Amino acid sequence: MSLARQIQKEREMKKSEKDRLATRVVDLWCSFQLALTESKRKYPVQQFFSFASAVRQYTELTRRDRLVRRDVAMVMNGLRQSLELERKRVPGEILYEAGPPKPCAGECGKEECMPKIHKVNAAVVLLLAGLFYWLFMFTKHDGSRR
Amino acid sequence: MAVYVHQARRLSKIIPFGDDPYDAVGSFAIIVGILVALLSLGWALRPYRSNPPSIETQVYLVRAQTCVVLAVVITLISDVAALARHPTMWTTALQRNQLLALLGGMAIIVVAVELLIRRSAQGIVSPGTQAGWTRAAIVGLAGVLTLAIYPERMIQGTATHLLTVVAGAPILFVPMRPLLTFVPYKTSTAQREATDGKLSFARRHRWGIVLFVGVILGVFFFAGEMSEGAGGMSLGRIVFVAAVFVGLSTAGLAIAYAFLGIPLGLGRRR
Repeated sequence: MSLARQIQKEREMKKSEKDRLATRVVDLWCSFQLALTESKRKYPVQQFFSFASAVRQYTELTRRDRLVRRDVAMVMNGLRQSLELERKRVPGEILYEAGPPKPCAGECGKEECMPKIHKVNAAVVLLLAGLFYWLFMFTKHDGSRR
Repeated sequence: MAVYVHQARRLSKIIPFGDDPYDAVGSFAIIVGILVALLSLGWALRPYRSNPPSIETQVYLVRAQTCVVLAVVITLISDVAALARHPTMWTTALQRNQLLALLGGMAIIVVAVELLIRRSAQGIVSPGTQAGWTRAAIVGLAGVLTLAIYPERMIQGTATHLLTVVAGAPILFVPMRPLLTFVPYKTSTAQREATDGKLSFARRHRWGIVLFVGVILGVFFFAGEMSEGAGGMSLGRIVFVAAVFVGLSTAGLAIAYAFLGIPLGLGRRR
């Protein structure tokens, strides 16, 4: 009985820790937004990294969970795009931390697809394989060697 | 065309890497290079329905492209090892400069392609760790050392020659694995994909598919060989040659899959 109670207590503690971290993520996001509006010249790098650190802690704690808090999900959804829209010039380190650019939505009609650079590289790599085949056949496998 | 054939014939006489195990390394590199390049093109061009391709998918695509580059690089290293072991065959030949230009040109192209791939992967991968570099360097050096001391007289007997051909596959694919896993996730941006615990048909029968493709390729190569003339071979001899082609291509592809399946996202866990 005491064991069950202890497990229950641990679960409740974990849940409250997650809630605390989720609230911290949202609070730090609001602070970052506020700092963005306060200064048009200086980018609030410090505030952003505090927010990113809180997100990382929250992600670590909820790694095994199937769901995350709705308010955190709303903040994280399209984070990079919202950062890019808010300022003309966003520091590279901020964009790097915010994640890769959203794939080219709409380029394939209604469907999502790979970023264009990956498509170009895939074609280049196929050409490389073809060239490699040609070199191999040219240097080694002519009829006179058989 | 006549000039091309003439030059190829003259060049093929001075190269020391036309024999196994160097030739086997190149042959397996071509087969896997073309297959993986086609796979990479398929992943890049296919539509992703309502969900955009995840970081995980993009990492696998970058790894597939890197795999093709590595196949060419390891073959070039194998060719250089053969050149170093048999300098008398080519250093005084008239076609020496042409040979060096071809290999050097290929090396420059492959470096340029690798730079392109690295540029595309900037946002999704993190730099390799010291331990990763060390592991890759040790395995790479072991591969070069194997090529440098491999007993070439083994190709004189049929059984040992077949063994030498099969040995070409690990020489190529073993160093590839630590080098490929150098393209890791940037964990802070990795998205966790929901899995329902079910395996698709392709994943459940992945080894069967690999062996099937190996057999098909072997039959294809055997048919190519026979189209140039069976030369009055007996039926028993033809069956033996067919078994050798099918066996070698299947073994090579199986070894390739064993080492590259998981890094390329073709393994059980994805």
